[in-house]
Amino acid sequence: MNQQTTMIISVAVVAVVAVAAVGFIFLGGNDNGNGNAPLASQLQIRGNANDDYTIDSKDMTILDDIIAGNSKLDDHPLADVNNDGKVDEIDKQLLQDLIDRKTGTKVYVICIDRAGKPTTVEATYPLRNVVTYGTNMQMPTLYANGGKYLAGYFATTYKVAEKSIGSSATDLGGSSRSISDAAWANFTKLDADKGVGALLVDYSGVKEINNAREDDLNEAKIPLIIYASANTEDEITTVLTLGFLFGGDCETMGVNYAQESWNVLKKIDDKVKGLSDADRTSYVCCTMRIYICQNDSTFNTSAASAGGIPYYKLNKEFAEKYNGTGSDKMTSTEALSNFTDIGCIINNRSIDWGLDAETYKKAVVEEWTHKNGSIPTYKYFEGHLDKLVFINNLLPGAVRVAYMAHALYDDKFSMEWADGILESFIDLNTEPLKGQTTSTILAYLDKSTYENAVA
Amino acid sequence: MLFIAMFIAMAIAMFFVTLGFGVYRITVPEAISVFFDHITGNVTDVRDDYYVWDIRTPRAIGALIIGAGLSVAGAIMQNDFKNPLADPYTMGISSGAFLGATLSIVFGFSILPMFDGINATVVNSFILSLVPMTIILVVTRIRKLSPAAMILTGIAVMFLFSSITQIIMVISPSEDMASAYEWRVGSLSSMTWECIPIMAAVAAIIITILYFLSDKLNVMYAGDRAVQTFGEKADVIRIITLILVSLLTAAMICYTGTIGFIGLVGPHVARIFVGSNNRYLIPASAAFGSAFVLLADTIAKISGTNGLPVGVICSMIGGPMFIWILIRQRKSAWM
Repeated sequence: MNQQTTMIISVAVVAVVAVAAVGFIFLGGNDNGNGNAPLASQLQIRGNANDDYTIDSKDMTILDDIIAGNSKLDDHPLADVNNDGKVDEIDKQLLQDLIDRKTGTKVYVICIDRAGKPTTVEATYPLRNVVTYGTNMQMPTLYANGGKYLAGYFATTYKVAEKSIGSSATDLGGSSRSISDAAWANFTKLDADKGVGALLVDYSGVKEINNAREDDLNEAKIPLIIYASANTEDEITTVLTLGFLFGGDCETMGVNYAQESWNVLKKIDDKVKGLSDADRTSYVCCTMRIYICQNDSTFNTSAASAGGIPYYKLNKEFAEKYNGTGSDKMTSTEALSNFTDIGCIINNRSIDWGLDAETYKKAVVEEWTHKNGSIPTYKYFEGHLDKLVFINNLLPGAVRVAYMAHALYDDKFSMEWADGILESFIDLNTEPLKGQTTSTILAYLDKSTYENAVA
Repeated sequence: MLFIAMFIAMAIAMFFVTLGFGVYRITVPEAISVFFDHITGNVTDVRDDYYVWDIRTPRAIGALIIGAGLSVAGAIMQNDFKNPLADPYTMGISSGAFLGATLSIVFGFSILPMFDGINATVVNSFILSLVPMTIILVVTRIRKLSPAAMILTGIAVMFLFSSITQIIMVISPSEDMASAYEWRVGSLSSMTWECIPIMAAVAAIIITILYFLSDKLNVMYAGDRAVQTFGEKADVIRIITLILVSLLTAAMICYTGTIGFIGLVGPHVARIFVGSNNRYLIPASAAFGSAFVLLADTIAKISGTNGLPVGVICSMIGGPMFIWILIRQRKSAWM
């Protein structure tokens, strides 16, 4: 067999495996038979040997198979429960403790490090006395109903959405986008006074954890758990994993939340998967009103879950201009002036809820006309106003994707359907949405919403 | 007069050239055509008209006014203090404005409670930019200060205000610090038609008054004692003109942030061409300042992803230009 033949066979094998994997995810490889979508979010805990959404006796079977030589660790990397490179009786004992949900068990959490690379962090089950940093980590913690386990936080910007943070949690100072030295000193004091179980950080805010602060964490043996939760699929995984780590009702909530989320993503995928790239609606994502999300930003990847095609794939000039993973402030109202064929502009905004009719209208007008310097937001989108939508970034990721799908394909996904998705999450009884309705949450805003508000 | 006409022609030319520069693609001749089409009520392309008339024209007018205002302010300060380093920066006016803006951006504090948001920033920076000069004038009234001592007082106030601002920025969240710094650098990107009337009115009135005070300003070159022989009081002239330039500077930078170097370089370049007679120096400084800021903003608009703050470009051009002036300057050009 020559080299070329070997390559062809290799490519064919990879293709078959990839197709099978996609089929497994979307065609019900582990469909539970009740019409639910398979949970494609794997629990990010070592011991989850079969890579599903929980830790149970099925994982122990795999460990037994590996120890007996009937299966390989390479095929089940999470079977190495204590991350020491081998599977042995110690792993079995740890796994059994996790299956029994035994208090005080060492648990090895898979997350990312400060450089964004996968890593394993040791923590104690169940996770208690955590401190959160970054809205995109704080909200998943609360969606897992983990608010009562917060020992502290660096900022609470959204009084209603974040009201489930326990009253005993300490306000450490800082803000949603920075941790001052004083706030960090409060954090270390909190650890000395009460003990901190883990610091949970969204990757977008990881620059606030510098070398010195990481040294502080290592010295105090505080686990640093980082996820890139602005991306919807990662957010679902984060809620699932945090739910497991908190244990009890939180674990149930994490699984329900993940299930509901994947049901939404599957419904969207079912309707848009047949579309060719030419038929897909192009989109540009924005954040903080006038920042354009760069090509590989997490907001951009989330909108792809709604079936859109990122505009940079269609426009070389845009692709070169906005290459990167962050966001770029529009320093001129002309920034989008040459890109007239954008299909949809999705502006990700965090807007607190608990609104009445009057404050709802005010919030709509504020978003549309908020002055950046002396220039109202809508001025930056002149020529694109019919394509501009604001979607509430505090909402569960799958709800956001549902509204994005409506913005991109209103003929396939009605506003009523998207509102229904929000209602189904409200019905989950996840703490941040308790007591809310579609009327008290400004979930979606477009030009007609604004015109109705000012009429 | 020839050089003044030359500077005015440069400013007018730059005004029209800058209409053709920016992210939106349109050529200079097309932009000029769109500009006149709008004036004559003959709008043919709504998009072209929007970007040229609604976005670029107020920005160009703003650049023109600010360039004139800050450059004249520098000329008057250098004249009053007989010091080539005097300008709105060294006299603390800019540091006062920056403190005012920072208080609003970081704490949401407004000196006048009826204002908030960007309006609070404008009001705070306007009011606090007048404080350094007030301190200088009060100290001068209490204990008669020489021009050099007045400059040193201004520098002391500048450092005092700057240190307060720095303390605020050290304890402020990074996003507020970024906003405050953005204001500090100075940008014309927020210039809208709404900003123009006040700026234009203040600039027109104060520059005209200063022009009519040219003869009195000229005698200041002779020194405070010699001024008395002309029947004038140096202190009175200095106080009146400093109040005027403080108002002028405050009215400019409260909308744009502190745009540096133009108050220093503008008068020096004008002086090289027209000499130190304020009857010529004031219009020449105004015209050169306008042309300079228009040029800097044209470069700023096409720099970076979507443009850079004009303050950065002013300093980048102004720095080397100032060194060139120092090398080339004849002693007779100053004094």
